[in-house]
Amino acid sequence: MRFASAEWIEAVVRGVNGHPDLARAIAGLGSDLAAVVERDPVHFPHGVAAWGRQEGGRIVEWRALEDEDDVLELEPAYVVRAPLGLWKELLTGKADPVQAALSGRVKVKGDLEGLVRRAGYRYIVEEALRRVDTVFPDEVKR
Amino acid sequence: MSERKKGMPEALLEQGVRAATRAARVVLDDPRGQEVLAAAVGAAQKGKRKVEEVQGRVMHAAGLPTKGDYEDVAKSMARLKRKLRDLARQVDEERKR
Repeated sequence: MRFASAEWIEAVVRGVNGHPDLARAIAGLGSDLAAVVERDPVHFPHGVAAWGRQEGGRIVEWRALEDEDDVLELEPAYVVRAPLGLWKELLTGKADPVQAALSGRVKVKGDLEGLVRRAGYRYIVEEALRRVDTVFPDEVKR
Repeated sequence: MSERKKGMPEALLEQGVRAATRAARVVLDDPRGQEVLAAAVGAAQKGKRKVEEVQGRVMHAAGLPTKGDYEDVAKSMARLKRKLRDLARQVDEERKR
């Protein structure tokens, strides 16, 4: 599945929602989050983003945004922004998300304290990602 | 393409980054370390927000636009851009019929 496509986001959300620890992990966090892949002239000329809203301990609504500027209109509680290369490192476990956020490589808008406090739950996303066959756009043969 | 051989400064930097990563990993894997780090991040964010609030008040008093004003404009532009995109799509669909 192509990274950041609607079907990829749906598969990740399904995996995350299926985890028994999710409700505990997201309790007390802001209602919605957008993950933005910054503009990249080759693969994402308009950028791309995934937006999701949580309620009652699970992700109840999500959307693939075809332009990263759409995030400005939604004004989510959290915006996590990084270039494609860094997302790839994070998703393949080559970079640590907390370190990346603290060092400013990943730009986080919103209550970073709440996210750091829940860093121990990152296995939920990692497990969901492991179950999804991700193809990054820079790996697709043209 | 063959990998360029790393010079001494690059190798040292790489080793330093690796050591720092390991140290940070130890802190983050320990719940107490996580708590301390989260509290420090929270304090830094609160400080930054306070500075921005004061900055905003000073800018407004001087009749200058604040960061918030720019954000409002960016939001309106984003809405307009999305509406134009939706309209262009509708026109394309009408044309196809």
